[in-house]
Amino acid sequence: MSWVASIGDAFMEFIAETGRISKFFQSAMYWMFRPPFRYKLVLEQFLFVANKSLFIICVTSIFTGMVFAVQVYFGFRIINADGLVGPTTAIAFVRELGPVFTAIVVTGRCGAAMAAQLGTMRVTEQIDAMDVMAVNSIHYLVVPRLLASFIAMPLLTALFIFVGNVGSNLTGILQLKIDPVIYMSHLQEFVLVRDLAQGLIKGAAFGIIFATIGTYKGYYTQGGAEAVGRSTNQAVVVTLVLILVSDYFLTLMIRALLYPTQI
Amino acid sequence: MAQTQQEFAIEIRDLHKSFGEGRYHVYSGLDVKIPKGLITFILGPSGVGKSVLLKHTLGLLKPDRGDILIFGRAIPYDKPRELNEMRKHFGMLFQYAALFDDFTVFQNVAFPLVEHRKDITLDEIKKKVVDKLRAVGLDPENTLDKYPSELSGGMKKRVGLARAIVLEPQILLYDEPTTGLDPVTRAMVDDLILETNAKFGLTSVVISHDILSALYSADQIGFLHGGKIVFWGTPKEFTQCNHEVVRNFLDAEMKHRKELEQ
Ligand SMILES: Nc1ncnc2c1ncn2[C@@H]1O[C@H](COP(=O)(O)OP(=O)(O)O)[C@@H](O)[C@H]1O
Ligand SMILES: [Mg+2]
Repeated sequence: MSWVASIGDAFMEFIAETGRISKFFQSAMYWMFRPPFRYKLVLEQFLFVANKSLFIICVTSIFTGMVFAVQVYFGFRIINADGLVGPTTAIAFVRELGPVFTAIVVTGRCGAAMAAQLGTMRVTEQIDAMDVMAVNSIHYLVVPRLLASFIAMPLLTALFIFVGNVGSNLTGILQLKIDPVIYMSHLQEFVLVRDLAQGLIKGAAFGIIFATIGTYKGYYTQGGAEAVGRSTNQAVVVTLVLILVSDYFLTLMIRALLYPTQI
Repeated sequence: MAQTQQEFAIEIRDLHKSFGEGRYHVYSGLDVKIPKGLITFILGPSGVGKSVLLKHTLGLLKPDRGDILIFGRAIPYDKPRELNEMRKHFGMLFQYAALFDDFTVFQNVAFPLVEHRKDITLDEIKKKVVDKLRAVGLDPENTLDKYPSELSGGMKKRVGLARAIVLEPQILLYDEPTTGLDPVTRAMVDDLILETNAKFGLTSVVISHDILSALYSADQIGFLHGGKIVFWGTPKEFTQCNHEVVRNFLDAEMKHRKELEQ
């Protein structure tokens, strides 16, 4: 009986947490469109999310592209389809791997950092101090992080897609000896503008997800310094689960909107 | 209208508040009236809800039941902009100063001005910041460009106080201003509370468990216990109070003083 009850409790807690997160997000949306608009803070956060992620995005994407080419090649060679390595990589990166892997990498760096920053500000009463000084802390702290992530993520996703394809291309041509002309030949037929749109929209959506969860977990940290670590940890886990789950539903939605005739 | 001159800065009526879905009651019918222009200490042991009281006063927490009036006006919880306007009446010194870590002293003290006084120039902001730092006994030249991590606990408090008064509030709240300080810094903070109240003609509310500070600086003392105010009066009346919990609190302090006198 007790495990039934604890599953019930966990489920109720899940519902309650979902409600709190959406209320937090609504509040951020409320303040986003109210003056003053703090461009400088948005820029600061944008540089934090984008600039500092450049290197790690390049490293992870080039190796993802390289291993992808290798795996696909040894599969496709059996049916004499090595010419499809290029287009397959491109489609996979543009639609899925780009946005999802970028989000995972940036969550580890920036989503966690947001939770830690706001968590520290919470437990040292800096957030209370801000509210007491009649500066809404969601307006000042959360809104710039949400906006910056929303803008930076599509750009980082595009970078991941590009560098990943360069990696795949180099591996395909130099290591697997695929004819460069063949590697490139079918790209335009397979990868369309709407595929790129799909990837970038997903990137932006994942940006909103990691920024919302990161700031939410930090903002509502309760306790001392050890609580900040807990919030950071939870922020990363919850964000990753949400990104992978929402990816499926986002794909269905985007297909319904952008791919009306295709099955 | 029969609107008389408001004699209370803060009026709390029949406040009820519990946490954890009603499992844990912090207040059950709390009544507090903070008179204008005086220094009022609210004393009580740790965990009775002193900080929570300040958070209610500022509208950071919402009562389960009861009313809180600031200069006779109810707190507008559901109107964020009006709530912000109301908060401009207040300055608050947090227990650990709560300075922004990645701001310099200048940026910290200037923060409320930068955010709320779009009408004044940067030079005027600088002048006000320097004035307020001097008012709390700091040397602006040596402190303006420092970060909080480079300051001692006492200096942080002074900077926190400068930031709290920079918008010239009418009510100043202190959360345990002397807890955990060395005796010299503690005496300095006691004087700072008195001086600041006199210099700026404020209403001060100090939340503390420091009896000696209260006896030294307070005009009025309230004692919080079991979710209610169990004593209210002058420092002299406080030392003669016969309420059991207050007595225990006082006797514990006096025991140490007797040790010292021997
Ligand atoms: N946001 C909160 N959620 C749950 N419990 C809280 C919260 N804030 C304070 N409490 C509890 O209320 C009680 C009073 O807290 P507080 O006012 O901080 O005490 P103190 O008198 O030492 O300042 C404590 O037991 C504390 O655990
Ligand atoms: Mg406290």
